[in-house]
Amino acid sequence: MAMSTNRDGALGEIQPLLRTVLEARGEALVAYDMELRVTEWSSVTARNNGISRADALGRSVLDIFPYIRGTAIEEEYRRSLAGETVDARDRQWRASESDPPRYYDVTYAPVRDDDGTVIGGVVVTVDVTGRGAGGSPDTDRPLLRTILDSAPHSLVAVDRDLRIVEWNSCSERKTGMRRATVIGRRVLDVMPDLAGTEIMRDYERAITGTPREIRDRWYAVPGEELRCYDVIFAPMHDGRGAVTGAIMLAQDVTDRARAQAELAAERALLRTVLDSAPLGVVAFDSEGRITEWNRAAETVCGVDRADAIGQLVTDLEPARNDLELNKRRIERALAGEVMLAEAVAFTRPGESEQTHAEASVAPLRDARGRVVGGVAVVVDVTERVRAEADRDRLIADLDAARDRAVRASQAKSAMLAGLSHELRTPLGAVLGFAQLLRDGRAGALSDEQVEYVDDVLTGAGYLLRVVNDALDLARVEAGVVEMRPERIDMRALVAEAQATVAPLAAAHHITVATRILDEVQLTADPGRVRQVLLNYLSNAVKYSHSGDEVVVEVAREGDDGVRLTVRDNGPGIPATEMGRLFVEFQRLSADRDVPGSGLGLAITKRLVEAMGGSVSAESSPGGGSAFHAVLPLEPAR
Amino acid sequence: MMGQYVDIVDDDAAHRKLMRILVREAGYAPRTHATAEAAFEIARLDPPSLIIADIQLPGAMDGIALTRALKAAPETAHVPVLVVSAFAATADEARARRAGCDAWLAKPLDTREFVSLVRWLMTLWTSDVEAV
Repeated sequence: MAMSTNRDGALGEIQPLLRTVLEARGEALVAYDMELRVTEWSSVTARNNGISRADALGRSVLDIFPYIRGTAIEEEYRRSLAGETVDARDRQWRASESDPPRYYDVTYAPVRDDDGTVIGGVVVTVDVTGRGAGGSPDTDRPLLRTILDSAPHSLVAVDRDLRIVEWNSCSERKTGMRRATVIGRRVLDVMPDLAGTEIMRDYERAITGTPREIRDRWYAVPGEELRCYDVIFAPMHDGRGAVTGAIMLAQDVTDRARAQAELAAERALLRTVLDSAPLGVVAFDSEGRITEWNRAAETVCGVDRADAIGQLVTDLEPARNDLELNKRRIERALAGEVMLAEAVAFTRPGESEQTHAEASVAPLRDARGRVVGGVAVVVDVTERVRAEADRDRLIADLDAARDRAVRASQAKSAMLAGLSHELRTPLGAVLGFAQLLRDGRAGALSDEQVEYVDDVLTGAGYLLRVVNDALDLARVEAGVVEMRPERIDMRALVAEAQATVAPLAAAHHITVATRILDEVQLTADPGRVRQVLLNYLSNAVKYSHSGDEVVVEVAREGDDGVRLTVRDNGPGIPATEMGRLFVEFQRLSADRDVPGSGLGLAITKRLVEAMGGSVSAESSPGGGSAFHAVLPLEPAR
Repeated sequence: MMGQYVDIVDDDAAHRKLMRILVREAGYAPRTHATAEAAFEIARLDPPSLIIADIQLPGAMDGIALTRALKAAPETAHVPVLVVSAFAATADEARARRAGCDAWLAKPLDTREFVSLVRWLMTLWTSDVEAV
């Protein structure tokens, strides 16, 4: 109900206006609904047919004009209801059998509602009997003129001599030439640049009766930019079928053509990018059929693009290897899930080694966000997987080697400690009993006996020092030396060490001097620092010449260290032997006359390193030596 | 004379002999034991005036455990203990001190130092008795 009111209302509004306009120009109008029932019947129509408006309204045109049933005319009505605008020229029409024939140009057009739905049609009829059948079209007639000029197409009509008979506004705009200046002139006179072109040949073919449709013809009006057109050339016929000329209808499709060109360029770019990418890209539709398979995918999967496109992903090699898992992955992607770096292992067709790949799978969505397929990005990680396996093996080997070395070192330290301890017990007995004898507590000895017992005591005493040092070294090496850091005033500690070594120095006639270059407060185990200093000092005293001076130096080292240096003026150390200085049991050639275990410097080095410091020595033969220990001011944590 | 024994505990025969000689030189009667268990049993039955124990002893009880046991038993809690060690490590001395030992000496023994230490310990701990 509402709909029919609307339709009637729409027509009701338009029709009186249209009727007035058309009747003022002598044009006949008939409007009809979808059942071809007359809804408007202008007075010109009434006059032409001798049927009043009142008699015609509501009746089917097929009832009013029963003889049009099954003819081209009925067909034209129907075509208008199907949405087509139909022009018929020079149509012969008799209002009744007795009347002479008249000629009409007839235009059928669909009537649409606001939604664009066809709700009926109109037919406008112009009496052209006066023009004469086959004459040049009278394009001054207002309706046709309006239609032609409002069309977005360029229209050029020519007669058989290629003289221009029609040139619509669009043509004016495209060429910049006014209609009035071109009508009646030959095409080549108006547009000399067309001479010898395909366009001219199309005009010539059309006037011989051969129509032609050309898509995407690029043409530039002189002085204008190149534009693209879809062009129709068609012969013009008179009412009797004779060719009277040709029309050229051109639609500017430059935007579309450019968009297509851009699209094509984008596609080419995409293709290039896809094919040059080192990542295999596989796209598939909602059924899991492959729609994209780039060059890297060919390489990674070992399947050619041509063999892959259109196939089910699950029919091809990488997916087939673990079919159930890969089916689930595809289903998950199609359900909208993103999966990153999923491990895939498979064997390429014709290969024996397994390929390892990582596939990231994601859904592919259309503009509205619906999942229409999926895309898998596949990377060959075989090399990496192998390298990782190699690396893991190497690490395991290194770990094993390190464990063996650590165990060997621990075993050595344990053996050294055990051996030292075992040696100390009997040595204790030797020393104890020798002391008893030496002191005459087990009866008086002769001078000769005293001398021999002294030799026993000296030998056993030396052996005990070696054993003690070895035990100490073993402890440092085993890392069981406890460090008890305290604040140390270096000046006091040096004075203490100086006092300790004083009897030995006095025995060798050596002066010990101290030089405190910087006041330094150190946090370290004072017993261990003292041990280091005493070791250097006793060495310096032992190796100095009688009457020499030994100097202890304390200086800052950088922002966070202290350097202890002990200098002597002894014989110095040959360059060839410097490298053996801090090594266990490496007594130097000059040491033969000097008692020592050969472990003192090795222990010193280990102790200093255990405290986070480092040792070094410098010497020149004959020029004395300097031994350094650099310690951090705060213990390293 | 009661209470003038000095018990010596060492698994090394040579050291047992050396210490026996030195204890005798100091003026006391030595009793020697090779294990802590034997020493502990005798000491409870007949407490000595001083016990000298090596820190390292075979069996379940070492010198530290023996010291702890002696100090825990009412019969021997008052007896001074001198622990002797082949290890010069201060950690061992600290362990022995915590167990309750009264004096500490590192091997190898200085025979004269040992004799004076034994005399000093005996005088210090038995002076009350002697004064009576």
